[in-house]
Amino acid sequence: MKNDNDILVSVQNVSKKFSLDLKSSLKYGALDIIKSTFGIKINKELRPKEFWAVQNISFQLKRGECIGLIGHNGAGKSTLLKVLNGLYTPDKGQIVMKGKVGALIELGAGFNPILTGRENIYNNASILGFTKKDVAEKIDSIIEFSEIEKFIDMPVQNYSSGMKVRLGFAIAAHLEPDVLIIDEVLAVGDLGFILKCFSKIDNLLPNTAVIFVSHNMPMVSRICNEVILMDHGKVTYQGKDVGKGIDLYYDMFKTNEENEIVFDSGEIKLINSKILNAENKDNSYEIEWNSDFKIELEIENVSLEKAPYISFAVYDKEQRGIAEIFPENQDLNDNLKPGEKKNFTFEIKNFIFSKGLYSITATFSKTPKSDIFYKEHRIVNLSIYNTEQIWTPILINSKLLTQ
Amino acid sequence: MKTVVYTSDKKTHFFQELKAIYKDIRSSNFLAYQMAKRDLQSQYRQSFLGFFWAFAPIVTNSLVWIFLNSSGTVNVNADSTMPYILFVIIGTTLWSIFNETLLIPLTSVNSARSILSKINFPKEALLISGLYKMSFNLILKLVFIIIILVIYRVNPGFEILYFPLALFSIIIFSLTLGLLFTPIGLIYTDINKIITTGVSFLMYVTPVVYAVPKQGLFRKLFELNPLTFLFNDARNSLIGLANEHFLFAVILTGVSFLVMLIGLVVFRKSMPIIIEKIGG
Repeated sequence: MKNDNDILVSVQNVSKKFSLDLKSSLKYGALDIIKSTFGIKINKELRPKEFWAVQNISFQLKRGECIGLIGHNGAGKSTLLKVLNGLYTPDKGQIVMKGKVGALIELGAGFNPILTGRENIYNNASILGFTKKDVAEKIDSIIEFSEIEKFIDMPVQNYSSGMKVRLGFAIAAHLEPDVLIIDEVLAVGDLGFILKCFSKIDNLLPNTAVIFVSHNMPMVSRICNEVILMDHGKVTYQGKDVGKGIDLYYDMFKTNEENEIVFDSGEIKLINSKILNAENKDNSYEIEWNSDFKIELEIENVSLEKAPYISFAVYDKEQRGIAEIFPENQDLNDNLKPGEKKNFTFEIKNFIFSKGLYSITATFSKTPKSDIFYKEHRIVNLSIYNTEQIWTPILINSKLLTQ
Repeated sequence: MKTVVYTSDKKTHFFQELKAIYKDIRSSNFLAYQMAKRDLQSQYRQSFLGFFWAFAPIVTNSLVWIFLNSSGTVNVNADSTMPYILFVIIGTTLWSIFNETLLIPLTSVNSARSILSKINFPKEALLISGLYKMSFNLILKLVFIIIILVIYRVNPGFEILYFPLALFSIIIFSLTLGLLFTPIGLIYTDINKIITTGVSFLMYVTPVVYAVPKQGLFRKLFELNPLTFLFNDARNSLIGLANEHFLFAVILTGVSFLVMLIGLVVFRKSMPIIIEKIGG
C-alpha cells in the first residue's frame, strides 16, 4: 500500500512576505481580510515596508527521505516550516502535501498547567489530530514512552521543563505521520531523552518524509540526506551533499580568528607562534590532510626559573575541543633566566583532521596536568585541504588489506 | 491518501468552503469537546465556590435593579403581569446568555493564540469548543431559572414550548453578530472595546431590567432592536403568556443562520492571515 516512490511533499517556488513593523502588518492584514471577503484579488507583490522572508524555495520529498533546513537565525527556516505546515498561506508558489502531517514545532502545545499529565495527554493529542479512539489505544504507550508514570496524575505546572518536553514528545511520537516536520524541539531534555528521540525518529524515518530544522549540525548530518542552506529567505545551497552544505553554513559565520589570552599569571609570555613548513594564507596555514608539520613558539620569560611544560589543544569551528597534544621530550629542568627569550619547535605528526578550519590553543604549565602559567587560544589557525568534505572532524587513514 | 494543496491564489467557491467547514467541524468534534473540557475542568478545579460563579453576575445585576426599584431610587417600568424580581432575573439571565455567546468567537480564538501559530488544526474547533462551554453554562443558568420559577410557583403551561425557539434565536443571532466582527476584531483590539462598550449600552435599549417604554424616542430605539422581541417572547413563554412574534423569531433565525454561513467562510478564509499577524 505504501509506495516507496510516492512524492509526499512537493514545494514549488514558494515565497512568503512579511511586514517590517506591526502597524503596517496589521493594516495589510485587515485590508487582506476585507479584500478576500469581497473576492477582490490581493496584490502578491511587495508593498511598502514588506520584505521576502522566504523566497523561491522548491524541493520534493519522498517517503524515507529527510531534508534539513539550515541557516543562521532569521534566515527564514521557521517561516518556511509554518508555510509547509499550512499555518501561513504562501504568497507565491504551491505546496502539495500528501498523507498525515505531524509538526513538532512546539511540544506540549495546549497543555493546561492546572490539569494532570494524563488529562493533558488528551488535550495535546486532540490538537495534534488524534481521534478519541487513537488516544484510548495509545495512552499507555505514551505514558510509558515519557517515563514519567509516577507523576502522570500530578498537575503539569509542577513538572520540570524536561518532563513537559518528554510528555510532549511522547504524544507527538505516537502520531505516526507520513510527513514529519521538526523544528528545534529536541534541544531540551537530557541526553537519555535525546537519544530516545533519535531512536524514535530513526524508527519513523523509513515510512516518513521528514523536514528537519536545526542548528545542530551533527544532528543534521546524522539524519538528513539533503540540505537546503538558507540566507535571507533565499537558497544559497541545495543538494544531496550534506557535508558541503554544512561546510558552507559554517563559512557564513565569520569566526573570530584573533588570538586570545585566556589565562596569564604574568610569569611567562608567548611572543610569536608560527608553522614552519606551510603557507600562511588569509591568516591560516594550509596543511594537507594526514601530513606532518612543525610549530615554533617564541616565548619571553618573566619570572620563571625552569622551563614550562607546553601542550596544545585543537578546536574546530564550533569551538569544540576535539584533540589534545602533549609533546614528548620536554625538559622541565632546563633553567630560564628572567627576560630570556627562547624558541621551542614541536613536530606534530599525521594531522588527520578532515577538511575545514581548526585552531590551536597553547598552554604553558608547571607540570603536564596542573599549575597553568599561561593559556592562549588561536595561536595559529589551520586550514586542512586535500580531502573530501565530511562533517566529522577526523578522517582516519585506512585502506583495504584483503578481499 | 489525503492530499492538501497550499497555494497563493486558492480559488474555491463559497459552497466548497462550506463543505470543507462542515467536514472540519465533524472531524474536529473530539478536539472541540476536549478543549471545552480542559477549560471547564481547570476553571472549576481552581475554584472553591465552583458553580456559584456561573450565577454570580446574574444574581448581583438582578440585586442591583431589585434594590434600585424597591428603594424607589429608580422607578422601573416593568411588566405588571409578573413580579419584578422574576422579570429582572429572567431578563439578566437571557442577557448574560446573549453577552457570552456574542464574544465566543473572539475569546475562544484569542485564548488559543499561543498554539495557533504552532499547530495546524481546524480553527472551527475553537468556535465549537466555545459553544460547548456556553452550553454548559447555559444548562446551569436554565436550572437557575427553573429554581426561580418553582419558588414563584409559576406554571408556564404549554407556552414554555416556545421558549427553546426564542432562546435559540437569541443564541444564533448573537453568535452570528460575534462571528462577523471576529476577523477584524482579532487584528485590532479596538473592535473588542467597541463591542464591550456598545453591549453595555445595548442592554438599556433591550427589555432586560425594564420593559419597553410606552411611547417616545426610546420606544423607537427599542423597536429597532431585534432583541426586544426575542427577549419579551422568551420571558413571556416562561411565565405562560402568549408569544406575539413567532414569525419574526423564525425569520430572524433563518437570516442569522445564512449570515452565519457567510461569517464562517470569511472566518475560515481570514484565519491564515490572522495567524500571521497575531500568532506568537
